[in-house]
Amino acid sequence: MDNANFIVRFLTWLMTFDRKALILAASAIGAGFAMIAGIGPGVGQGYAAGKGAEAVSINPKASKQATMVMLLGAAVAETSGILALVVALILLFGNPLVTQQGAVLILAASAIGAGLSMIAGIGPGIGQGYAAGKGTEATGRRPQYQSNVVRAMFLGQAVAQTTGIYALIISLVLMFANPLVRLL
Amino acid sequence: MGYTWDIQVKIFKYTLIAAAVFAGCSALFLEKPLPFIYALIFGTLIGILNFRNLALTLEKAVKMTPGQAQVYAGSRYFIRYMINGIVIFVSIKADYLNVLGAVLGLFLIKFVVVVTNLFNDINFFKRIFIRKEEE
Repeated sequence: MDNANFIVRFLTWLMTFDRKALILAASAIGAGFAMIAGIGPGVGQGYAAGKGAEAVSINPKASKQATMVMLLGAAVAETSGILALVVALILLFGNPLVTQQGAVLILAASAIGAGLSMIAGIGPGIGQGYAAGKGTEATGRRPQYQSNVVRAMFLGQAVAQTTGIYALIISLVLMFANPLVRLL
Repeated sequence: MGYTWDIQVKIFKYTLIAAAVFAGCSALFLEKPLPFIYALIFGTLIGILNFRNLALTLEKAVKMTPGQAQVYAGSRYFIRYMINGIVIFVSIKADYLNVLGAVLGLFLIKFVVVVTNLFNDINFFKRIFIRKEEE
């Protein structure tokens, strides 16, 4: 009866592979998932640039200040993309799971989980880009309040980054200090 | 040089100072500091070049229509993303570079941007600690 269950058959089939091959295959999937986070900053920076163009067209006299705010905001919006890249490249070229002891299924699932958790980087990327865009727009409208706008924008961006850092922590824990292996 | 050159120079200066401080600390506290310092310099320089590229991209993007600017800035972001990927890949592969140093170098400019703009007004923070009754 068990043999009829697809999941059991799939897991049994997986177990026929070499331990290292299974972990490396899972790492490849994890690295691919982690790279999805690269979408976030791309969308965010594009939005900021669009808002910058809009702000300059509304108030061309404030173009210098608006571009400055956009530059600073867009630079910060890139952060979560780089974090995802770091995790993906660690999974590909410095994989710590291959040499770890423990159940192969848990290690392989951890590799996929480490990559999946980095998808959370989309949020901060888009959010920070949105903040940069709105900051640029606000500076274009009222250039005399530039320093206040910039401070509020960075405060918002710093808070928005926290979920990306949580994702990175979970990803690094799964790779380097996996608590699940010890539970078995 | 573009009209954001002044702020770029300011940020580059602070980033190089921060990198020097980190390099000094690593020389004092790490057993083998050279791979970390090399990687830090490598990451910081690429971070600075990426920031310069971002500035040039955005200076050009503001002269476009919003739709064009979105596509242009998004496509240039993926070029910088690939450059970052190459830097991290090289630092993982090369024994003489410490990957943590390279990642720190790449992020240093972001920290400098946030810190120099968030904590640049002491009065703002002084006001937080002043009780309303004292005003």
